[in-house]
Amino acid sequence: MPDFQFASLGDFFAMGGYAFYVWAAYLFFFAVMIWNLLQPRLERRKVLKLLQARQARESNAAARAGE
Amino acid sequence: MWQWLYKLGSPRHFYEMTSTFLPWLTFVTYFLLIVGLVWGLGFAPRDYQMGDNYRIIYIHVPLALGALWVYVMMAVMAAMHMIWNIKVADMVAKSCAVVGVSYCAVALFTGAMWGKRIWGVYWIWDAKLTSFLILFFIYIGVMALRSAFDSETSASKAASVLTLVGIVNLPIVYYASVWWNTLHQPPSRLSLSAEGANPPEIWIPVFFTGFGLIGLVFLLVILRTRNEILWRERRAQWVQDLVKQELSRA
Amino acid sequence: MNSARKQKLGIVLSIVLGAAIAVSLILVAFDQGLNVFFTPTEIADGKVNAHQNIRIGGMVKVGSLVKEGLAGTRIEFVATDTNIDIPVVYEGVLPDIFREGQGVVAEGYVDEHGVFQARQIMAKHDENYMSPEVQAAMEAGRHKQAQGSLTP
Repeated sequence: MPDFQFASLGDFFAMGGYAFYVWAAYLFFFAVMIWNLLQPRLERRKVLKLLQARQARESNAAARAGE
Repeated sequence: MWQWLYKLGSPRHFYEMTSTFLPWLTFVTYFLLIVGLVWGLGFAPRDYQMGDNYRIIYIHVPLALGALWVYVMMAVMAAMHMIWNIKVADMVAKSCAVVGVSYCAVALFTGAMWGKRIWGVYWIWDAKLTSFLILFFIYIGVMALRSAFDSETSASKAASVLTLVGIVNLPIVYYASVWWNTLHQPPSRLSLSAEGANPPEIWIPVFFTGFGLIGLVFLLVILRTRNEILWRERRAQWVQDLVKQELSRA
Repeated sequence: MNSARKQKLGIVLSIVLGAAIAVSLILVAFDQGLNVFFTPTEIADGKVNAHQNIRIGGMVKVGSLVKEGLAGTRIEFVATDTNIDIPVVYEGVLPDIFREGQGVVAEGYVDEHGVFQARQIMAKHDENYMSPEVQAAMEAGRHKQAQGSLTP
């Protein structure tokens, strides 16, 4: 197992003076990937709701036609 | 094997098969990504001249290669859709574009963050960077073209043709720093020896994040394709049943 | 494969092939225009005019770097491609990995004395990554080799 390369957690966040660039890169990466993972799940919920509404409408129409 | 592939071509089978292995894929992807990111950020040795700034490599390189890989996938799917008229192939191609464009965007941004202090500039119009920017625009073009049509058939045909044309750009992106002189460095040659350039202690974490991000490509493409299947197959009985099932569960 | 499929396959292949040929022709027409910098040899061959805005690329010649001024912000060095040397002067901020023996790309123009007046200096990084320990060991190994070759 390789060693932790930083003397302290503070050193880790400082990234040898490159904190802004390294953390900006990783932050943007996480933001985009989290959106990537959330968006299809929200989309799925939306599609299912739409299809449910459609089904309800159709069964209502069928019931009315049957009366 | 062929039968299995053939089955994946049916929207229903694609949906059902992916239902069973999505949890596994999710688990493996998260595992690879977490190991690779923690290792790369905290445990890989710093570079002798770029210090900790080079730790961006652990996302930058896999994302850029991933963006090329997604394009290959998208192009194969576009060809399959055009030749054999496989509906699922078109849905996968549509999903690929969104994932590819996001990988491109992050690769461009992380590259700028890496370049500023090491090169001295965020951006330069050299062959490598410019051809990669063109890849980004081709992805956007494919998405825009698809949304410009009302008819799904015309949309997928137009998007497929542009996708196939765009293949030409892939070798240019990959070999740009070999064919022309650029500020961007050429691809690295990995070494198995610990005493030399590019030793395993530096590139092993790249493999973790690399396979993790390829896993993520599959995961994201599958999630998007499943939504597309539900919508396009909304009149099929099995989707109607599935919707009822989801309704009773909620 | 039936004939309709074959025809479609033909269309797909001709799209890819057609695009490939078109783009290759464009790239050949551009020839070296896609290079981001000129080498010192190309400048010596008269490929650029004096005062033309260009980039040059080469190696910072070992032993050539001179820092002047109070903060050492004015620098002079020699850019080389091992064949031709070009003196470069520059005043301003330097990238972190700029140093002797390192690849460099400079933006500016060649003045009437053949000196490159740089407006911006960029460092070119190679494709080799390693830890400081490994680098030091390699450096030591190289010195040993050099000494060994001197003794008969």
